[in-house]
Amino acid sequence: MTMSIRKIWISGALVALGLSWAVAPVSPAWSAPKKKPAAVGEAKNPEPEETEATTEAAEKREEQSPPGPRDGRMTGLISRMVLKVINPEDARTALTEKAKELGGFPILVTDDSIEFKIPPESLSVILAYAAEQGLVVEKSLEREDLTQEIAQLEGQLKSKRDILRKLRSFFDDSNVQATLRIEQTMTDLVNEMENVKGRLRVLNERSRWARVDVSFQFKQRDRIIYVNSPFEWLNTVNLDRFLEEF
Amino acid sequence: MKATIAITASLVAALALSSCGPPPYTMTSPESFKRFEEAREFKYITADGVMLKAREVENYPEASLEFWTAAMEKHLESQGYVIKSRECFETTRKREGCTVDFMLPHGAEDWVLSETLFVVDDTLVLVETAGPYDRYSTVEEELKKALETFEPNL
Repeated sequence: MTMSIRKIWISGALVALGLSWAVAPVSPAWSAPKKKPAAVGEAKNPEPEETEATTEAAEKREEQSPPGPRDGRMTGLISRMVLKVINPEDARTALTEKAKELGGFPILVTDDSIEFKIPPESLSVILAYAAEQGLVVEKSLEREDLTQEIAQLEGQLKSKRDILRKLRSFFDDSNVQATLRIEQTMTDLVNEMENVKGRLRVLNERSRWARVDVSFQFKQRDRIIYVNSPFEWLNTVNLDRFLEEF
Repeated sequence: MKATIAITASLVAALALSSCGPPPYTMTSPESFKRFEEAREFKYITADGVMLKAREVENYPEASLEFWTAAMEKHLESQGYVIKSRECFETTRKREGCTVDFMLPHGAEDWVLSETLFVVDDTLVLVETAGPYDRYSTVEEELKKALETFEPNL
């Protein structure tokens, strides 16, 4: 009887873990189960199947939720740009507005820089717009192929999920000691799955958004060097002459 | 003999007077600017020191507005000026002009030197404006509107 209640409780706990994917250890408080006695007899019947299906559905939803080009290559894009601008505040405001217009958002704004995330398809648009705000001193684009890493993690997740499913079936024929070991293994497995899912989320996020870092560099106070022009009148166009003759 | 001297003197005087007269340029005064009415040159200034002056040079070798605008941009850029903006427009009297604003360091400030070119046959008319960037920015728009009314009257 105690054994059955315990099995039911473990199944319940796993369902909860499966649904929320909260990294919570399985409580060893055997007195705690609040299952109805009626559930004891039903432990091997429809409920576990139903809950398993629910868990799988939740997992599927979870996997499908991060958007991104899942059919093609998953690429992480980071673009860095150094701009010489006359007024950094104006340039920052203009870039923030444009990023919002293109579906992006700023993630770090300082006096002389701005960092934002933007949909990858709008990257070239925002880079061209940024270039219009001043003189481009430096520009770089870093492209990282995340496809393999994502595929590996998805593979790991799938195999862990299969193991978890198999472990559930071992409950039926196991004694107390074995059940305890299975329970521990399952807890570890769920933790590992959470870890993998977390890494997947990060990678999906990186492929979903391109990151753009723009640093504003104030105009360098270089000296004006006088250069002679073959066109005579052009040699008279300069600020010093203007001020002198005014 | 006396008559010849008198005629020559009159001609010299007439020439001298004509060269001393104010230039024939006309322009609606920008609000913030005051014109030096008595000056021999066509020049304006704002209370905080943004200056405008027009002058003319020879269009030699004779070339188009596009040619001279490009030549000026290249020449000033090679000296370290930075192009802030370039705008070609048509005046109210259908005359074509191009304004290029250049930035440059001057003392501890960034200054703007704005050059507007008009080609009138064998003459190039230059309307030059200069001032610290922050002060120039405040009058930039009214200056643009005023330049659209500029007429060399050559």
